[in-house]
Amino acid sequence: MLGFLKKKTIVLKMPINGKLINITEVPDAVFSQKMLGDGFAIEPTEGIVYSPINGKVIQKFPTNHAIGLVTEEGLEILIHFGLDTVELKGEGFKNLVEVGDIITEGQALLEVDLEFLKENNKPIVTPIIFTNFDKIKKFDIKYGEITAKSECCEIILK
Amino acid sequence: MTKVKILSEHGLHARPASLIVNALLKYDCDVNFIKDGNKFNAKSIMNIMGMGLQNGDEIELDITGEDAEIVEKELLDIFNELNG
Repeated sequence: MLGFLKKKTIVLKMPINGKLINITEVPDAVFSQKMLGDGFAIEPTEGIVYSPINGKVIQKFPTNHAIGLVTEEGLEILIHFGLDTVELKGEGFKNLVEVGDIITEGQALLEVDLEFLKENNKPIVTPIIFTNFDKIKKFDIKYGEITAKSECCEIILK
Repeated sequence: MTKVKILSEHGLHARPASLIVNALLKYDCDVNFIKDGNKFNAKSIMNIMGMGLQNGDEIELDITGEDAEIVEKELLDIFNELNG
């Protein structure tokens, strides 16, 4: 009721130092064909993931290579560090938060050993996916080199 | 309830989860996976991935609503394919 009167805009903060690229450039069809949802990807230059939002941790995975967040407005965000990194069985990843933790923008969530990933031939490109995409009306992404914690994407919810 | 055993070296992660969710979104019925008494909405990528299913884990399929039989068959086909 009266939801249309509320303008719901979320501004995401860059979660990793690096270069923001189009999700369609990720060399894995699961992500590039948006099978998990739409979003963007980052080519990291540093192995620390900061929270892009104010919200809550809703999923962490036994292998620590991915983390699921939800914003205060209910938008779900999946950060999947690297490709095929599930095969590393947790090695190279250090999770800094627990499911249910309230998180704030810029808070460190995950530490990743980029060199370890490279030694194991895992691409480090990191898809950031909006998994409940049906909540989004439109979104606008800044591409290119972006410093962590600066604004990188504006999302308008339905 | 139908039981399914996960037989996939790296468990059930992004790729398999996307196959399952994309297949289920065509249908109106409610689909839940049950593991150790906990219920997970099988139409949510985040939920399925968050189950952290490993090779050898067993889940139950809880499907209610229209087309339940068709959906169960389609799911079993997907699991068979994933299990190779």
